[in-house]
Amino acid sequence: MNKVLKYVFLAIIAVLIATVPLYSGAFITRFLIGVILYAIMAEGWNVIAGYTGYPSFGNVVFFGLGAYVTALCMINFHTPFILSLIFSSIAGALFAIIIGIPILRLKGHYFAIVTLGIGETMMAITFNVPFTGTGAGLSLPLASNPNLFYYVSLIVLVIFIVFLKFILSGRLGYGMIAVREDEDAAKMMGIDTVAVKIKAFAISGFFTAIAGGIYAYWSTFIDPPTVYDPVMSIKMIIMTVFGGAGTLLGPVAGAFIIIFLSDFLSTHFTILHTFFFGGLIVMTAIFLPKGLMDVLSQKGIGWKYFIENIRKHRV
Amino acid sequence: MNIIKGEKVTKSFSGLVALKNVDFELNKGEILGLIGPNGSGKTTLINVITGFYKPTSGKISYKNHDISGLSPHKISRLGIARTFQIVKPFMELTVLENVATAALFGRNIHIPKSQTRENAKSAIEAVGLYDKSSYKPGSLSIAELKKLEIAKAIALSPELLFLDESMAGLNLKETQTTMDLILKVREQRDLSIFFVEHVMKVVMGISDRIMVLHHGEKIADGKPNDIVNDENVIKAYLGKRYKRQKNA
Repeated sequence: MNKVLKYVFLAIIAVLIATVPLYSGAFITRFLIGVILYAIMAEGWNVIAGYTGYPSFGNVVFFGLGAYVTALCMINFHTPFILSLIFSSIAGALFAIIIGIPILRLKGHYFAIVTLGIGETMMAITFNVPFTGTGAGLSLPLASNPNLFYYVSLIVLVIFIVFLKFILSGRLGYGMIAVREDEDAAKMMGIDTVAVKIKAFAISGFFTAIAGGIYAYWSTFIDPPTVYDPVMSIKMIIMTVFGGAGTLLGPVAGAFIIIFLSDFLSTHFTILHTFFFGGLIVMTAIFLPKGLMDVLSQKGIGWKYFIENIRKHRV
Repeated sequence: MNIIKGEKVTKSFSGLVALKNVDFELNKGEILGLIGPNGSGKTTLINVITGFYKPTSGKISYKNHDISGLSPHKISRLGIARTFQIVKPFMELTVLENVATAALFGRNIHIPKSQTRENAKSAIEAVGLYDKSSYKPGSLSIAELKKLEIAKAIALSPELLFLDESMAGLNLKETQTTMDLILKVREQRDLSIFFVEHVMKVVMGISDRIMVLHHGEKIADGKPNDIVNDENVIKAYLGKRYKRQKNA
């Protein structure tokens, strides 16, 4: 009986989430579109960093690339929105493969620094290439129905989570975790570590680029500093780590909570909220290095859990 | 019939010759002990055979196929497994998950996933870690970690197993159980074993044959009793004291 109740409860929640635009105002829908787009990006970061152990600091590059591909397709070739998103996702995955082949040989800090550089490089290139509109940016046609973005992004997020769950239960998922835990041991087990890393990076690029494409049409205007903003890379990381890196739903929870708190604080405490991200990073690193999902999975949580975290993860 | 054979295997690191024209051979079902002083190239030899290093020259053949220079994952899929001298467990996963991951790869790479679980469980049982299945490696002792390393290697369903100092750091009793374990898995799984070890009691106890490396060169290869009486080996590695103890 309990199980039935649980499923009924989950079904009601699912219906409520799926029909948000029908009963809520434009403000809440808009807020949730932002949350979902960030959830997709955070989940994208989770694939390469949380599961595969390669902390990319430049995942925004896929977002920017996706935004530009969708924008250019829709402006120059008048392709339908969904088709443009497909082009964006393919571009994101291909770009991940092309840059992944050389840079996924680097480990740890070196990988992080190079990914940071790639984001900046793409921004500089976009600034200087005429057909991408240079610094003036690109304006997209207006969408007839703003609720479209809610449904499209929600569907993409759901597909991503289901797809990732499927991947994680197979050899690729186990291979990713083995690479994260110990790459030499993984190799010796017969795991083609190079292929695993490139596939993980391509999945990450694929979905992050879709988020970029949705963003481009939603905001109707893009320019290099907004879509290649390195702060977005940092936000993806904070959301994932806060929610729980290497957990399926951690990034989604992280995206929701952090955007909610950040919006709330910036409207009510205009000065104080500037401390928010810095403070949150520090607190998360000290008390919740394994994220929110780890807290939720504990039975009977007390102050001991947090003290233990400090003890275990001190330098 | 030999399962693996090396001919004139040489490995140099920008001028430093770590292995020089080493010939070796391991017969099916045999346990070969590899000994030698620190820095004599034992681990390098394992790294060259398992694909971590490419040999500078020479040829390694596994079941009469040339495998010299293949990448580690391809060699592993052919049925060669190894343990690491410094254990490399997956710290965030439980013992069962560690071994279950291994059971998905190696020579099992094409077996449906549902059929690999049993293999993982039997590997854990074989090394005697069954009651610790749900523990994470952080809470295991060094002896248990070495056993976990062996369990992960045999879960790959290999035909040839390399053990790199699986008994270093263990006490006498733990050493004895690990020795019994090695003999048992060879029997049960029809394995050929190539192991590196410093503890002479172990080497003498389980080897069918012993090979000695010194400064990257093979200085002896033969039956355990001949090896311990070999003048070159005594001079390079065992020392006079070993001979006196043995005679006493």
